[in-house]
Amino acid sequence: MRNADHAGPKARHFPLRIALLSTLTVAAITVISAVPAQASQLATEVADTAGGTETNLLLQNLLNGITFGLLLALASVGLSLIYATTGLSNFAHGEQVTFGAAAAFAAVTAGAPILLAAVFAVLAGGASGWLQDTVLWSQLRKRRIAPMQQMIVSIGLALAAVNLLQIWMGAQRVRLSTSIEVRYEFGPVSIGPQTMISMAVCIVALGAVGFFLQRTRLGRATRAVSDNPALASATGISVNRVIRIVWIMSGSLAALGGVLLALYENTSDFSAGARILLLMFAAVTLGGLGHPFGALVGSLVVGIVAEVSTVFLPTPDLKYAIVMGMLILTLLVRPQGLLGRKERVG
Amino acid sequence: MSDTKPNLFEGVEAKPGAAKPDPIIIADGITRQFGGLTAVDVKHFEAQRHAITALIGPNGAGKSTFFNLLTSFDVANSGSAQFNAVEPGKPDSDVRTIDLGGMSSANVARAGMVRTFQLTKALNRMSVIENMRLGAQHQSGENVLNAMVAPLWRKREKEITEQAEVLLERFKLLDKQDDYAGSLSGGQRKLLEMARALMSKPSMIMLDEPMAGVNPALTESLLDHIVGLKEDGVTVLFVEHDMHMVRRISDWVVVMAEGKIIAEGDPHEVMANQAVQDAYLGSHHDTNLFEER
Amino acid sequence: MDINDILQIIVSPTTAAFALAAIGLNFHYGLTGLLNMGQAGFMLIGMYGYAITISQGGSMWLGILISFVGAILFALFLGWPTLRLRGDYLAIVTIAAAEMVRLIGRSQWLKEWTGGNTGLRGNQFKGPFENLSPFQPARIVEIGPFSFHTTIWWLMLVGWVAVAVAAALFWRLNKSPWGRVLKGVREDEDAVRSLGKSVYSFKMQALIIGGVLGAAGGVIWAHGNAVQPDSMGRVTTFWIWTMLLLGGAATVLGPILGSVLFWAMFVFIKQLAPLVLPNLAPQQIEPLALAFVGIGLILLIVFRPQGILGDKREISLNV
Ligand SMILES: Nc1ncnc2c1ncn2[C@@H]1O[C@H](COP(=O)(O)OP(=O)(O)O)[C@@H](O)[C@H]1O
Ligand SMILES: [Mg+2]
Repeated sequence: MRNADHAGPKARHFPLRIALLSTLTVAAITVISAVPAQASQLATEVADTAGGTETNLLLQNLLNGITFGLLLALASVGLSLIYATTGLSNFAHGEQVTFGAAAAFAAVTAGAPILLAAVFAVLAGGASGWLQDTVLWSQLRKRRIAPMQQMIVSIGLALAAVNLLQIWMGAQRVRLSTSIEVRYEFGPVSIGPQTMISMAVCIVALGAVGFFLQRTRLGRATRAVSDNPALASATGISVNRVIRIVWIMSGSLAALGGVLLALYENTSDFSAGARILLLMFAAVTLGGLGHPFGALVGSLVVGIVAEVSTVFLPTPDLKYAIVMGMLILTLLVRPQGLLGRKERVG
Repeated sequence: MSDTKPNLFEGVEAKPGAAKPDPIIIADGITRQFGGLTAVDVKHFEAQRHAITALIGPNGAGKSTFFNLLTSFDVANSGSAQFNAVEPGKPDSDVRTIDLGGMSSANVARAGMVRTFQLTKALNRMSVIENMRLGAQHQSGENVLNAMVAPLWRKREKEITEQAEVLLERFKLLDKQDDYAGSLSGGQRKLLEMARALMSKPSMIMLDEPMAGVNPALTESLLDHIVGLKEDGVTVLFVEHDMHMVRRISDWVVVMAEGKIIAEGDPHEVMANQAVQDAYLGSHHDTNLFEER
Repeated sequence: MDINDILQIIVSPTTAAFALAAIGLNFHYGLTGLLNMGQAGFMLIGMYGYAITISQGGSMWLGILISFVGAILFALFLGWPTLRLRGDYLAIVTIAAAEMVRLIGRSQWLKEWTGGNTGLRGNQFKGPFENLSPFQPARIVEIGPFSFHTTIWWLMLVGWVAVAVAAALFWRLNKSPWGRVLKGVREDEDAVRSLGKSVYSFKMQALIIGGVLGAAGGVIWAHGNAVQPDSMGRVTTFWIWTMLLLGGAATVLGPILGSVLFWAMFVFIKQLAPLVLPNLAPQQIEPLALAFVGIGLILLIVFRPQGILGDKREISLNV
């Protein structure tokens, strides 16, 4: 017999709280360490006539981190929803993101303005989600193929998709918009209008997802299915329909994420989504596997840690390694918190 | 059957948490909450050595959770428990008291307290005989270095195979020994799980609903097996819903409801207790628990 | 269409290296049910440990030792937080850790040792092994359809002997009481726990053994190619999974057959593609072959999850 003091009912929210706490900590450290840097900068400005154009590195990275975190959240919320409703860790989700960028690129090449291209990409992403679920995933569920086997199927799909995308797009980098970004200065940080619009789109889209899950009938059904599919089905919810809709949503959100990512990075290629796949997994796991809102918080943590860490790291190319390390450490320090509810034995 | 043997419960008061003359398990103040729900809240519990004790109670009473807590498959919010182990072949006076707190489930089993699960855990993609062999203790071949040198474990392998065949014979599974466990029927898997637990030669076995899903033709022999275990000196604690079975084989009955022990006593008398009737009627209007069959 | 190319890839050190890594994964997944999604990370650790030791002046044996110790430490590091948790946590942590190894390896930070993103060239570490070659003088030797330099013959000999030893090890352990406990863990770890076995320790042992075999595969691969961090990304792990599932998980020869078939089909498709699709640009041939790998993996899981050598009975148990 083992014995322990329990955190009680609050324990379920632990992942969220720890993620929130880490975000705040990172933000606080950043701000605190930024103050002296800014002060010294002010001091040097006296001598430096062009001082007005200097930005604060730390704050700038924090802003970049938040931007990237929002993009990541948008891209990964579908990953989280699919995991929550079907138990599948979808390794092909990165290609879903790339697909969005590729579809937008195709539309832009065909002469469409960027806005129309983005809409097209979102529709195409949704259609791809629908198609996948119809042709593949619903069939696997019908055949009662375990989530673990389905995960390997998703690996196969990822391998196939990334290479087909390479054949389609070629190996070179592509650009969705050729305009040169102007950057506006706001005190110690600067930001481009394209990025500002991206952030706004992210916030609106994430808000819409939140509204959908909390306030709409279908959203509540989705949450019921992720809590307990058998129970949900017993109460008259059509589980397969909910999952189909989750796939469509997941595909369109990932596509939108892909388009915004391509605008944010100013470039895209066939492996753009694959490159952020592990960051998305890290975000979703940090936020709590299967909690749709966890993806948002986890993504912000991942984005901020990745960008802010470049200020301290010996070489900036280690920033994603830091994220991977952080993920492993979190599981090490507080695995129970991330587990959500413990499964029952016997 | 209960009349032909010396009464182990001579002078034991029929009340919740009653002290026993020779307890093999003593548990104190054990609680377990799931969110706001208190699944287990046992003030005091003792199980008599060499006896068959039945743990009954309506669904959701916390019986399985209590098993999980005693065997470290779950973590209690508070409480302590001890296991008074006697090595096989040693006299009962040679008791070694083991604190179950902080022990891993594997160590609980190694100390001689094994269990089965309400949802049967047969190892489906292993043959019946391999399931059985896995249950045996003291296998030097389970050390990875020894495992590479077959002569080091061949002899033990033969011993446990023979032991397994005897048990399988008893449980009428011998002709299935080379089949995958997953191909057995639900009842047969329950039997296999019990036989496998016995491979470790335990001093105590805890059976969670051993009769559930077992073909009625088999339940008779299953009851005989359980009584046989007691004759071999194994202490039995089992969960069962069918009062008929409980009366047939158990020496003592403990009743749980809403996580608490609400009554204890002789199997023929305990159901007359008002608290027990209330507990059952509260959740089980339609059961025929009180009818003598 | 050149049948010789296919024969050559079948016996090549690369195929042997991947067979070793797949046997390692078989200890993890086939025997124990562990979802190690970072086997390429073990290979990379192995090749770094080996090549860095030698390039810094250590002996070959020290290199092998360090490579294996590295794999053991990596397994402990991965297993410690995750082996107590549900299976998918191991998957996420292994894939993240393998990626971390690759990112650190290719970073400019440790360039002095790791060579950064270009890795380590063969002449920095291959010397001691090649000097041990009994096939002297060094020249091209032709045997049947195979024509290789003696250093390659030597490497192939060692590589395939290592594969044979690993397969024998799997065979022996699989049929031992130790292997029985692991199979029990694969089926239901709580049941095994209830029978008095320390599940955590057994899982850790399996993770270590499979990881060391992965590292050995990495060393062989590095000898056949070079140390290149970007060749050991997550996709490489996926290939190893494909090989294992193709040949048949939990079988002795499955991983070897899987590796052979994987590479043979890969070369075959690359040769066939330009014949069937003459419009295909040369740089599109390899992605096409790899896309077929992915499609093959999907079809495999759906239609023959037990692989070629696996037991149909096992899979049909729908319980
Ligand atoms: N892991 C768990 N999480 C939440 N609630 C649980 C868990 N395990 C058991 N319970 C609850 O605890 C109570 C006791 O369950 P259990 O011990 O299975 O009862 P019994 O075996 O007596 O039928 C039930 O209400 C059950 O729903
Ligand atoms: Mg129960």
